[in-house]
Amino acid sequence: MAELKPNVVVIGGGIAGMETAASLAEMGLSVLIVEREDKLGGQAAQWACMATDACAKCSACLIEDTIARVSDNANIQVLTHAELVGVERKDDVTTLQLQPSRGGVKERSGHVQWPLTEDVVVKTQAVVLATGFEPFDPKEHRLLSYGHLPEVVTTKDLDECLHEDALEKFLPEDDSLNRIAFVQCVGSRDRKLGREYCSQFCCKTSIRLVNRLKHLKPNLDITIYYIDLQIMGKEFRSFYQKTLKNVRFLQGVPAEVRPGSEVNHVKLVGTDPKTGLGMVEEYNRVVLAVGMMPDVRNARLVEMFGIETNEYGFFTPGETNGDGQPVAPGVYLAGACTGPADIQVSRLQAMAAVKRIALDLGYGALSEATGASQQAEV
Amino acid sequence: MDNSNVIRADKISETPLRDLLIHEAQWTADLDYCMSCGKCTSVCPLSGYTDMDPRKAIRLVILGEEQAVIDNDWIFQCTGCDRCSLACPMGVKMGSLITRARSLRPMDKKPGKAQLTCELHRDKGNNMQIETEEWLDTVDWMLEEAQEEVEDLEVPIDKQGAKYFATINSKLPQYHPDELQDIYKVFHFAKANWTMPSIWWEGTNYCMFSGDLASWENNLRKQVERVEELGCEVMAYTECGHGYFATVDGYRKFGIKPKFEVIHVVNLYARWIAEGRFKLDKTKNKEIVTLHDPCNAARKSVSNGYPDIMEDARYVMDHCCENWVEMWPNREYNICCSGGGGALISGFAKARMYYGNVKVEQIDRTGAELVCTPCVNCYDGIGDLAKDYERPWKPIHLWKLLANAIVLDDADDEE
Repeated sequence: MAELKPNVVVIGGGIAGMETAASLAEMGLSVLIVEREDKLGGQAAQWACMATDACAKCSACLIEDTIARVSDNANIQVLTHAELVGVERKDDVTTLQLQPSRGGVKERSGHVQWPLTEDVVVKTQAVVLATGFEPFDPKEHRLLSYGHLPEVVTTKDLDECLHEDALEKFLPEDDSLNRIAFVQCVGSRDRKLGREYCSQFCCKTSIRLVNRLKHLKPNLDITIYYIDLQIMGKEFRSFYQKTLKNVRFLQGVPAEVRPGSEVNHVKLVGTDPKTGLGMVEEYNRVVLAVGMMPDVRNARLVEMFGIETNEYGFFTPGETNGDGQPVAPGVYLAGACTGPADIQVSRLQAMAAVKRIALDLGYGALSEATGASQQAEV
Repeated sequence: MDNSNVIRADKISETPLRDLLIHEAQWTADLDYCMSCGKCTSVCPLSGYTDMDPRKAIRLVILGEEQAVIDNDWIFQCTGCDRCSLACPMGVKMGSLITRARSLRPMDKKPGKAQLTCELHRDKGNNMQIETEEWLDTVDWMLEEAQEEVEDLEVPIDKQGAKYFATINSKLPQYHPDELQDIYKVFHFAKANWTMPSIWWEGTNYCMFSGDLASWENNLRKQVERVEELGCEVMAYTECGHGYFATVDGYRKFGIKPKFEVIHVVNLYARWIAEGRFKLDKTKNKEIVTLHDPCNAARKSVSNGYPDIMEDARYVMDHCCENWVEMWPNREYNICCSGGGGALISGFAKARMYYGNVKVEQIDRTGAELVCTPCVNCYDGIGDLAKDYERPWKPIHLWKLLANAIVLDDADDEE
């Protein structure tokens, strides 16, 4: 059986995992990325650039940049299609058992990677969990008719159309079809589903998306239905103020999408801000801003590493509160596996983990850099 | 259940609305969870008709302006369908707010006839002030007619120790006596050991609608007494959604602990079909039928933790109808018939027809000729919509579809 001995193992090849790996590798540590899918990038790899005439600071470009940093670095090895099945910690060394994940290798892209085809044992000093999130599946809210009415899509679906440069997949090229509604907080702030939390990125995602859409198709007539806008961040408020000139914002979110009079027409009930009365309006497309959920497989990692999740199922950084401290001996966290986080927040968390690992392993400014002492061996 | 949390009906009116809806165990609406998201308003068929909506009502109560809600006729135009509570992501229970607000409207200021109906039920034992003798005459008259088809059919009156105590919505003897025959047939061919009560047989409870909590409780206790005197094991609640809900929910709200079980009759049909008690021929119901889920026996039952009829109604339809189609949305997501919450008799016909629009669109999309309504009030609600919107479809009770499908030559002895 093959055996690897990297300094650090990163579980998950999304933005948080890649940033952790690239930064550590650039400091001279050897890093192994374990990714269960067949390529790097995670959820954000399907997100489109949101630039209009100006950059919208969506950070989508950082995915490609970081993939390049990972691919170019000889200190990093990537195992795709790999699943963690066993963990043991003894004498400051963590031993991981990896298996090819079920379902077969789907494709092999140009990135440096090695689809796992046999069982592997890995011995390492530090493990970073960067397993990310799952987008909420709005089928749970049957009245929203996602999967039932073709006019209803998610922000994820729309993002993927834009990523492929295929807007016509979202909306046929017909000038009469121009009324779009965004519905915020789908799957977030929901006590009945046990997810009272705000996903924090969806308001910004929708505001960037509507600007991008108006840029591509100026005749679009767009409404955003929201509960309250969570748009923290430098400059985002002024970005919103500019958006207000082109897009209607309505307080109050519909819970039901009703079939309309014909194909490409559906109805929503909102509240008229002038009169306070309920009003029925027709739209050609409804975009559901889906929130972040913890990965269902987190429960297994909890068991394997002896760590904790919060009531929602996200890994808890514990009392250390996200400053990169280990949550168990040799175990660190980064990114949306700890709770909703966008690309920028995920990177910040990755950097905090990097700093801590470097210190704990005796690298970095406080210790004498020794370079990659233990290159990964196969 | 811990009875110390139960507020007696006569004490409820002494508690401020806001406190009651936030803190009291039996009435809590979890009002303080509201984050003003507006989902309630977006699923309300009445939205846009008037200056009040569920969200606004919640905000007003929270802000101490409860009188503005109590005085607004919107609380009586509401059909109590409770889709707002279903849509609420925070678990706020609008039903409690509406019922409670109605209870605070002075008796002489309650619109329409819901309160009058409630008082007749309280004073006469049924909504239509049908005297016992008259009631038994009707039961007998319909029995004679039914016997022309099924000779050995019997209707045991006040049979001591019968297993099933049948409730009957008083609209049947008053307006649709023929339908009693369908009920007789179902019990007969199921070989059920049942009884038709001579008093306290009413299978509705308009007091829940008018917000007369004391009479609501009184009517329940009187009926419980009667069932227990006869020693029945089961109160078979025949097709009336709100009657069923007012009973099971009322028992909980008022801390009533009967010695018998309340079972919606649709659940019994399904059980009896599964046990092979009927010989059914579904080709006898050839029309295209769609199924309307009564709010009270579907959504409101399931969301309050009571047995619902959603899956059993479908099981029965599968066995009785050759062509039946679902409408969308269905089950707990279904849209009110336009007759719920006492709306049939509250005098707001225009409001009813306004929100009936959504229901009409929904039924039209199915292409059905018949709308099965396992609820006497829904039957009238759907019937009124067909009339007002000039639609060809007609309501039909599930007992009629079931009775129609029964192959008659298979009668055996009673259980």
